Amino acid sequence: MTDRGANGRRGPGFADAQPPAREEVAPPRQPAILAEVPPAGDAGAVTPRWSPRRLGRPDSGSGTLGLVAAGAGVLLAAWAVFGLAGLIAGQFAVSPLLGWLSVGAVGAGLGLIGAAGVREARALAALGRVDRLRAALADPAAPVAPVRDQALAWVSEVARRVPEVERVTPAIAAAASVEEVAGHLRAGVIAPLEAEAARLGRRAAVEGGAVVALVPAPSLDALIAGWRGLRLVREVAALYGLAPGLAATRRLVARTVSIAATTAGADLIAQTAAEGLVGATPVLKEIAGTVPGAGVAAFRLYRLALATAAACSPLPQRLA
Amino acid sequence: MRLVRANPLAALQRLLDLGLRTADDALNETTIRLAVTGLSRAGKTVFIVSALANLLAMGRRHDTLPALARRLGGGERLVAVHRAPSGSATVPHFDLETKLAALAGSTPAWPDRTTDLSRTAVTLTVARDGPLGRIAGPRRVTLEILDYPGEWLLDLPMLSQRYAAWSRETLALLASPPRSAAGAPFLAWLGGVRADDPADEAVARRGHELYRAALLSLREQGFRWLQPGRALNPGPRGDAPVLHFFPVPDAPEHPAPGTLAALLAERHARYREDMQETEFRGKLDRFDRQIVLVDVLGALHAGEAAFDDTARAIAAIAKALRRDGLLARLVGWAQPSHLAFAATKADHVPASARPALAALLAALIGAEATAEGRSVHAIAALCATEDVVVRRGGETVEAVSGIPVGERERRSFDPGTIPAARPDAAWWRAPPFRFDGFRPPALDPLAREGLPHLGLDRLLAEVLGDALA
Repeated sequence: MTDRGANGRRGPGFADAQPPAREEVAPPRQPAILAEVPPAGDAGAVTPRWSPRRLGRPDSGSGTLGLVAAGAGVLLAAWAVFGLAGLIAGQFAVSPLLGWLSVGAVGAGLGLIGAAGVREARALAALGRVDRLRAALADPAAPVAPVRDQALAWVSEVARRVPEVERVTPAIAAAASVEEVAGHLRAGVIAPLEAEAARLGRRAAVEGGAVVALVPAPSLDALIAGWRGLRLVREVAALYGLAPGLAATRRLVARTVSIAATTAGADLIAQTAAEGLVGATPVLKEIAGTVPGAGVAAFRLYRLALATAAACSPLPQRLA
Repeated sequence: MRLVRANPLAALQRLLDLGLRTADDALNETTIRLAVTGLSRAGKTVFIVSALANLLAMGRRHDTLPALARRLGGGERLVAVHRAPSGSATVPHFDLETKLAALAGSTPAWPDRTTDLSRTAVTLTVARDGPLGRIAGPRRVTLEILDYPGEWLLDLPMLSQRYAAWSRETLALLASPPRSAAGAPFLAWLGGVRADDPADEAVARRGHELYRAALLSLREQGFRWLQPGRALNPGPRGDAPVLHFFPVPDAPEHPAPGTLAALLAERHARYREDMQETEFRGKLDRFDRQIVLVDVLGALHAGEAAFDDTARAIAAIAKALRRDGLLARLVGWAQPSHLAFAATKADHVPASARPALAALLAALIGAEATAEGRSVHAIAALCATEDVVVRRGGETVEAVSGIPVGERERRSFDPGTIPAARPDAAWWRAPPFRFDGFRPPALDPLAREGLPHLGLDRLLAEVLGDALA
C-alpha cells in the first residue's frame, strides 16, 4: 500500500501490485565483417568520390571598370571596321583604282596591326610559360618529367643571350625531382641572370641619375625616370627570354609593382638606413648633393632592375 | 668598406636587402610547431601524409580542406603553399613522396610502423586583410610537424620515475588479468629470480627477452601502456644493452652494488637519460599546438582492459607533454595553446555513428576534453570506405564497405553499436573483435587534388585557424 500525504506526494511503501515490466533494451550489436557482398558495381577497389572545388582567387572575375573598358573596346573596333568599310566603299564609288588602293592601304595597316598582335601573343605566351614553370616548381608533387622539359625549354631560350647558362642543361635533364630542377636553375641560371640584371640596373641608375641631374625642370624628373624605368623593365625581361610587347610589359610591370609592394612595409623600415648610406657613398653623395632626388632616383632604378628580375624568374619568391 | 667604394649601389642593395629581410621576417614570418602524437597504429604517419598532401593541393587552388579555407576568406587569402627548406635539421626528413607512392601503389599499403623520428615543414603564404595589411605584405606561416614512433611516447611518463617505483607499478599491472596471461612465461621465470641476486649479464638478457615477448604479445592484443617503448621499437640504433632491463619484485630504492637490481636500475636510469637527451630534448619539448590521435574503435573492440589501458596511456602522454602550469599561463608560455583529440579511422563507422565515436573519445579523455582550448573530433585522415546499407540477420543496418587488408574483394563491415559513453559491464561480455582494417583506396600517387578524408579540415581549422586568420 502506498500512503499519500496531505500534499498528495507519494510516500515510500510497498506496492501490492507487481511492478510494471521493464522496457526491453536491445542488446548492443557486435561488430562483424558481413558475409553479404556489396551490391554489384561496388565490388572493386574503393574509389572515393573526391573532387574538391576550385578555390577562389583574389581579384578574379571582371569588375565594372573591366566591363566598361571591354564595351568601349568593342564600340571602338566596330567604329573602325565600319568606318574603314565605308571608306573603301566610298573610294570604289569614285573609281575602282582608288578603291583598290584603299583596300591595299587598309590591308597593309591591318597587316601591321596583326603582326604586332602576333608579337604580343608570342610575348604573352612566353610570359605564360614562365608562369607555368613557376607554378610547377612551387609544387614538389608535380610530375618531374614535364617540369624538366619546361625548364630545359626556358634555359635554351635564355641561353641565346647568356650562353653560360647552358652548362646546367645535362644536370636538369638528369634531375629526379622537382626540387632538384629548382636547385640547378637557382645555381646555374638565376644567379648569372641576376648578376646581369644588376649590371643593367647599375647602368640605368647611372644614366637615369645623370639625366635627372641634368634636366633643368624638376617636373620632368618623374617622366624621365619612368621612361628609363620602362626601358629597363623590357631589357631585364628580354634577358629572361621574355621580349615583352605592350601587353606583356604591362603585365610584367604589374607583377614587378606587386613584388615591390609586398615588401613595402619593410621598405619603410629599411629606408632610413638606405638614405643614410646614400649620404655616405661617394658617387651618390655627389649626385644627391648636386640635385636633390637624383641619387634616390638612381637607386630606385637599380632596385627596379632587381624587382623585375624577381618578377621574370621562374623560381617562386623566397625560393629564388 | 671596399665593396662600398667599388660598387656603392651593390653595397646599398645588400644593406637594404638585409634590412628588408630582417624586417620582413619580423613582420611576416611565423613558425608553428605542431606535435602529432598518439599511440602506435593510431595513424600518425597517414595523418601527416594527408595533412601535407591536402595543404599542398590547397596551394594548387583545390578546396581540399574547406573548413580551413573558410578561415582564409574562402581560400582567397591563400597565396601559396610550398614545402619549407630543411635547413640544417638533424632530424631525418619525412619522405612524403615515398609514403604517397606506397599508399597509391599497385598493391596499396599503409605505411609501416614508424621506427624513427622524422620532420617536415610546409609554408603557407597568406595575404593580409585591409590596406595596412597589404602594405605589410603577406604572412608566411610555417608549420613544422614531427612524426614519432608511438611506442616511444609511453616513455615520457617514465622519465620522472625511478626504477623501484617503475618496477613495482609495472609488475602489479602485468600480474593482473587479462595481462597476466600474456605475461605468464615471464612471471613464472621471475619467480626464480630475486632482486638481491648477484648481477649477471646472461640472466639480465634472458629476463629482458621474456619481458619483451610479453610486451609484444600484449601489443598484439590491443594493449598500449607498454614500457619501455624501445623494447618494442628499438629504432635505427637497434638493440643495445641499455635496453636490457625488466621489472623485478621488491626492487629496493637503493640497491646494493653488484646485485641484479643494481644492474637493472643502472640500465633503467641510463635508458631514461638517453631517451631524454637523444629523442625528446629539443624535439617533443618544443611545440605550440598538439593533436592527439586515438584509435578509439580499435580500443573498443579489443575489450575492456585494452580500452582502459588506452585511456590511461593517452592521459599520461597528454599530461607529460603539457607545459601549462600557473606560471606558464600567466606569462603566456603555456603549451600547447591548442590541444585537439581525434578518434581516427572514422571511416570504419558509418556517418550516423561518427558523432558517437567522438563522444566516446571525449568520455575516454574525461574532464580534459572540455577544458578551454581543447576539442574532440572523429576523423579519417584517408577515407578508405564508402557508406552502405546492408541486411544483417534480417535487419537493415548502416555499414561501411571496403577491401579488408589482406583480401582482394570488397566486403561490408558493421562496426556494431558505437556507445557515446564508456560502456557498462554488460557490454564487455562479448569477446574481443580483431579487425586489421581496410586497405587504402585507389589514389593519385601525386595527390594533385589532395587525399580524400573525413573531418581533417575541421580539426586543422580548430588547431591552426587562429594563426591563419
